[in-house]
Amino acid sequence: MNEGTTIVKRLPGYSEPYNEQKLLASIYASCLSVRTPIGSAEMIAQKVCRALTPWLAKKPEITSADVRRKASEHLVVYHPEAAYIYKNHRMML
Amino acid sequence: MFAFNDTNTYLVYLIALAGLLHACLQLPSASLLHMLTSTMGRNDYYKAVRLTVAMALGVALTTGVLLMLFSLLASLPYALYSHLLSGSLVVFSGLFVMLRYFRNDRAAGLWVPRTRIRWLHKKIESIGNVPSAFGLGILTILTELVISFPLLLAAGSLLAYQGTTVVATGFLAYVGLATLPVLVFGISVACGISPARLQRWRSDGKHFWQFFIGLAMICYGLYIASEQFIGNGV
Repeated sequence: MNEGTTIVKRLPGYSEPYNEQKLLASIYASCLSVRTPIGSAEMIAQKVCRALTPWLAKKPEITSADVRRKASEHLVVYHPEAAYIYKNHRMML
Repeated sequence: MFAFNDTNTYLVYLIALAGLLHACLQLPSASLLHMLTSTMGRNDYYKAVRLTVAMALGVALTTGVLLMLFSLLASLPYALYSHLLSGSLVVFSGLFVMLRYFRNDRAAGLWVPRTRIRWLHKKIESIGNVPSAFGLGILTILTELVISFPLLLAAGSLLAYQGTTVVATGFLAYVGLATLPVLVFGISVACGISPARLQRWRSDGKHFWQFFIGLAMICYGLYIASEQFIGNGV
């Protein structure tokens, strides 16, 4: 688990350390929202988080939008619909 | 008292058309979709139905109250030019819809200012029960009132001074049609259609939708405004 990376949030001046559990939970929720079975959703979320770890290791600081974009690139391989919802979650309105 | 002749039918059609145009405004249905993706887990079909019905009731109630209010305003003694005023406002609203209803992003982001959208996001993501879904229905109608109030005013001006039959039928037609998209989206999700598919449909058709609805509103507004002078039984 990479805890050395800082995530810069959308709110100006606000940042926090990378928390893998938060990312896991958000991908899991996206999978559930498109009716993925619970076990599948857990497995997909873990795989995506594991795939992101090498990319995050190189970055001392990234934005939350970067995390979302990169996570959805990995998620689309396992579940395109969940990836679409995950990527566009904040742009549905 | 319950006569329903050609003039009445024509009026009800005009009011129903205003309701149909109101139904094409997407903030309530987009908010419902967002709410369902935020709160739904696997096998929560019944929760989706409950939240949808609650939100639809909120939308229907608020639309009904606003329509009654505008109808009362249009029947005041000084509101002699209500058709002309409401028609003109519908035209301007249609122009805004045609040019600015959707944002120029890859998804179907709406015209609402970003700060307001962020606030709405927070509200929607905290919804988990029926009363808050009902409140969301009220909130979305009030948020989009800037665009929808000309349509409500036009329908209200058509309802003013009419008999019970026309008022009841027109009222039900407008409110029913305005609430329909929320019900259709919610029941679709409850029946198994993926929210991603609905969201993609919204996103893919947004330019066509924007142009078509804007144009329809402009034509409707011009027609209603011309009624002031032509007076085709209205």
